[in-house]
Amino acid sequence: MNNRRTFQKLFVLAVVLYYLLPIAAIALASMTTSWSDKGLPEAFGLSGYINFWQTAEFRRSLWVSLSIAPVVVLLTIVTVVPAAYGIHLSSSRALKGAADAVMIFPLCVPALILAVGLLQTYGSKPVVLTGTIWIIALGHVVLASPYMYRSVSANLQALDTTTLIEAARSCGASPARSFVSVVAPNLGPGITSGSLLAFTTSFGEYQLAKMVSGFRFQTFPMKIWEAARREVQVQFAMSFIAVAIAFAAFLAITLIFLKSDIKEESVIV
Amino acid sequence: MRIKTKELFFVLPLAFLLVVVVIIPFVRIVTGSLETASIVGLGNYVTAFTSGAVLRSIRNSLYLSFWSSILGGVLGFFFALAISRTRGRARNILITVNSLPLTLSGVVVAYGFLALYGGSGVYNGLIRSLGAPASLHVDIRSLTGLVFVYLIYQIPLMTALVLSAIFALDPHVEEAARSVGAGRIRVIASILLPQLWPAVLAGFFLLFINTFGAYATAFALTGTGVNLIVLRIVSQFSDVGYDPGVANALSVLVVVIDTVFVILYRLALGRNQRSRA
Repeated sequence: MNNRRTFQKLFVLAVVLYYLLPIAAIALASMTTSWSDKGLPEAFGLSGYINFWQTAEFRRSLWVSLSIAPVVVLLTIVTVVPAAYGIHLSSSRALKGAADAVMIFPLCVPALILAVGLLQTYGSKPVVLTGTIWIIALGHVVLASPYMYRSVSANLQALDTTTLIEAARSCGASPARSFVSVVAPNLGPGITSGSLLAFTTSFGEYQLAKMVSGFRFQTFPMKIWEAARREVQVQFAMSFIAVAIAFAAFLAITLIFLKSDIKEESVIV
Repeated sequence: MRIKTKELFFVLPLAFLLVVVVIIPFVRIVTGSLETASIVGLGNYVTAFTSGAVLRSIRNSLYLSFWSSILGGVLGFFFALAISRTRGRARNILITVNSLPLTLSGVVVAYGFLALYGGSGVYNGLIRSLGAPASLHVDIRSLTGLVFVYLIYQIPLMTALVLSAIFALDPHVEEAARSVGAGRIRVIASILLPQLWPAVLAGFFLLFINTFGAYATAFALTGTGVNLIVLRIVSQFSDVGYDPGVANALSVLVVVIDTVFVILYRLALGRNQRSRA
């Protein structure tokens, strides 16, 4: 019995170390200013972070990503929340089945293939969108939509929507009105967590942004990749900033779930 | 109780978005894959499937997705089991730690593994400074290296899937089995596995989809050092190997394979869990 317990603990420890050691290595490398010829850290300092902040193009890429992400969040809320609500309300099997199929699209088409299609469709007339932040944002909305959908439908399932809607309707509200002023305000936890997941999805996304940005916009992950070719220390400093931002968003999600009835693992997967 | 058109009205904005961003571009990929210089036909597919390098890239991508899904699936299953046997604060911390890798950018993950296990990374540095045998050196920029790296996405995904399936189980069944003397292995084999295997199977398919079209980590880690189908698609859009027709054909292939696995995933999930996209 005791052996088994120890084995289980060692197994858990091994997985946790496997998860966390690469992040620890990034933190270590971001603060290492000189490496011994054996490849181990020798001297420490914050020049990676300082160089990052003093280089305008690196700093700008952070703002680019930090301004695309809120646009993505907003567009995801506007498109996905009503859809999740409509599907939740529906008693028709056909609509539920169709909606199911629709929600699965983003799974079948990986970000890279999405980018390949967007590049060829909106890269030439009549509609030219490549090289704008809009095309990056639209692509990210599709990638983020399953997270928002799951967050909000988990939230809807925890609500007594029938009573809420009946109350609103009996006071004379239209279906749209009862959704906006009665149901939506109760979806706070679902929308917030979906938004944070959409934010991290957009903030860390590399492949789609790189293909459709047309070099006019360089997002943060694109600049991390570029820094890797020029200044290793800046590369790791930027990587660690990305980890910190993703981690902060993620902690916020966890706190929201702890305070609500929604199960965290039902949203992640 | 409600008229269908009103429900459709709520779904409209998302449907419009998916048509503009997914369906029209995908139709463009399909038509592009059928254009060779001036003729319309299957020429690009013939070119792709008769090229040894392309066939190797398909094999490598299948190998990477298959093995990272199998290993990640098995490790994730046992990790979920271990978490479910933990109580109180430790369990919540483990659930949080488990979801953390899923929020990381693919590029960042690649550089974390490079800093740790790369040619001049901490691990290989330690091996050198300790004078350990050269056979302990690892090459993270290889196909096996990528399988190892991809586990950081695969394990947490399977863990989360299995964990939510475990939490939905009736704990009394297991207690009853234990009270009549069933051992741990017996409990896993005859009580947990029969109830959890649909989730595990669905998880395997989801893990496969999750990696088959993934690009960022492989590219940031290996450049084009490992011959994968996604890296090939991108290089065929660049100046050197410019051949968008073949790239489109390969893109269609990726979508077809992903769609097959999505269908398998839905079948494995079963009807009772159909609300989960």
